[in-house]
Amino acid sequence: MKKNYLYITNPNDLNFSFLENESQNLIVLLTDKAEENLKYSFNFPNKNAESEILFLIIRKNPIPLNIKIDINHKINNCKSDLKFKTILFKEAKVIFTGNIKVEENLKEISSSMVHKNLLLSEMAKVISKPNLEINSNGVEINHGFATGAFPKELLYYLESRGLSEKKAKKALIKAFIFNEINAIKDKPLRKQIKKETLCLIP
Amino acid sequence: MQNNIIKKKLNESLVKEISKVKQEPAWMLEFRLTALEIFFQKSMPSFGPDLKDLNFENINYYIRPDDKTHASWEEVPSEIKDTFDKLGVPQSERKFLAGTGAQFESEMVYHSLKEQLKEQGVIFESIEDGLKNHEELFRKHFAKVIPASDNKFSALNSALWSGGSFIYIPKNTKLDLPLSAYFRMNTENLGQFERTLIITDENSYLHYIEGCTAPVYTTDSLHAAVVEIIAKENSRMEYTTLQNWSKNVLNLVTKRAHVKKNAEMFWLDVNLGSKTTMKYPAIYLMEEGAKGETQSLAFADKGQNIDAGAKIFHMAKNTSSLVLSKSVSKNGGISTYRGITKISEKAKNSKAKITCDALILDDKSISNTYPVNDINDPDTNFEHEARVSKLSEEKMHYLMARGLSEKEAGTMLINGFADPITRQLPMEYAIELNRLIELYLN
Repeated sequence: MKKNYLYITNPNDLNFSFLENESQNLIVLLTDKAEENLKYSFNFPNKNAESEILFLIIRKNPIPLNIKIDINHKINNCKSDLKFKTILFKEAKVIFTGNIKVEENLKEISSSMVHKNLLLSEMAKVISKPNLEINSNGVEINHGFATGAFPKELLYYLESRGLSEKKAKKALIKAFIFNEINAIKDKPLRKQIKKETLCLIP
Repeated sequence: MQNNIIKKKLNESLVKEISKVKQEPAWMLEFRLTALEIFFQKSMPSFGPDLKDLNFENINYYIRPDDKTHASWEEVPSEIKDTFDKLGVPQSERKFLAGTGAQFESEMVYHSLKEQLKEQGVIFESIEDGLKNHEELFRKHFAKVIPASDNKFSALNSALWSGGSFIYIPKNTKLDLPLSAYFRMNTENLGQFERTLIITDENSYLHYIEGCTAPVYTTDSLHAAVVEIIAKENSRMEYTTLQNWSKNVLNLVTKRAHVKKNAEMFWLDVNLGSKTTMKYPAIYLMEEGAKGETQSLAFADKGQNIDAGAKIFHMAKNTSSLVLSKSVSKNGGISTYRGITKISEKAKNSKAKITCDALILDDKSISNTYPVNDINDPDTNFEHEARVSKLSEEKMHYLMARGLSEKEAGTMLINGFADPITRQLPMEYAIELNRLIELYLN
């Protein structure tokens, strides 16, 4: 299956229903300009569909961002793979509610949802409610969520090699977010996303 | 049997009668009456299993403590008797577990143990005796961890509580042997609204085990218990529950521990029985260096809805927590993990890890996961992972290729799945639990 890439910035609502044999890669960038309540739905009503969805969230805005995502598996042999990379500055707050639902009597369903968060201020907050409702046994469903402290050892390592604190921090933030962006196979798109995300990192 | 039960409507008069029978001080009656008001004001939980069949008008709210024998062995369902046979439970224990006998042959052992504990200053009494004999200590801690207003069922329990344990472990006292409610209950009836209060004083250690692996038969339809624990500085408290109620019981339990400086709390929660369970053992890490751990294992079979989980609140710096939840659903059973882990702004340098692992054995069964991760401090290391899958076909094939039948291979894999939790149980419980897993699967 040929992979199609779609890149969207700050969409309010998304409602995808993937076609038979479709392979869709979606990249969503959410910044301070995003509306505060976002509702996204990804549906798999046709067999052999697969989708990789990457959310890049970079915010300073103190208005809480509410993101609600529904992934509905309704037919056999489908795959969904969601990744979130969140960087929060100042008083930014993200509240995420995700639902993966697998209907009855389905086989060969694979779905995963992984969040990685970097909180760069004492005031930044993240709340995550990743729900799984699984009504079939022919499934492989995973969810992962990780929030880590800023890696002080790495910061020290970079500073000891001559980088200023500001530059060292920026290098680590870039490494955190570019890790996923580097996996985008469409080179011009990859370059564009890197450029846009870099502008958001102070 | 009917004559022994206070069969009244749930109202003030019932609460007053319970308090009078127990010869309680006035403050406790006042507490119960306030709790009853709260119960009427509170609404039913807005989440979790459907409780529409629960009829508060149709419950025997209190059985007098002097009524030791309240049913005949013949009335016990054959499925319960069969399980006793398969587990090899002794005759005397069978009758106790089936609710038909209150006397138990190990009474002498129990009394000897009690004397030994008394010498160490340990208090291990029924909750009623705790109130009578140690009122000051009791009053200082009672309902401080779980107030009546916490939820509708804690309010109901606060109004009607009867039975349960009161335990105090003095400073610098570490009990080598676990205390078991099973010992204490041989002279007291198990309450439908049992209440347990445990205080581990500074630098002490206690492992408490409630329940047993054979099914506990009761004709009651509602079990709403409250368990409060205060783990003081540098103490460690382990609380093991093996819940195997008969499959007509609504098991709605509130359990919570307050954990002080450098103290540790460990809930080990195994749920096999009941029609519906709603139980989310909570840990409040109140002071610096406190640690909390919850490990749970649930098996949901036909007609069962096991909604269990863990709540952890990090409220001070350098606190850490670990949650491991495992569940198996088959034959239309529903198992749900529901939990919250909150890192407050004050919880600097805290660590939390939550792992949920679920197996679904057929297409009729359901597995749900509803976690909430609330992170308010940037210096936290927080990890959460959840996984839902079926039995690995490769592993099944491997075992069957070596001569095991499909059932034997499945049982071996599920025992392996449950092993991280069952291995933490005392050996005799672990062996019985493994047998029960075999019964569950076959």
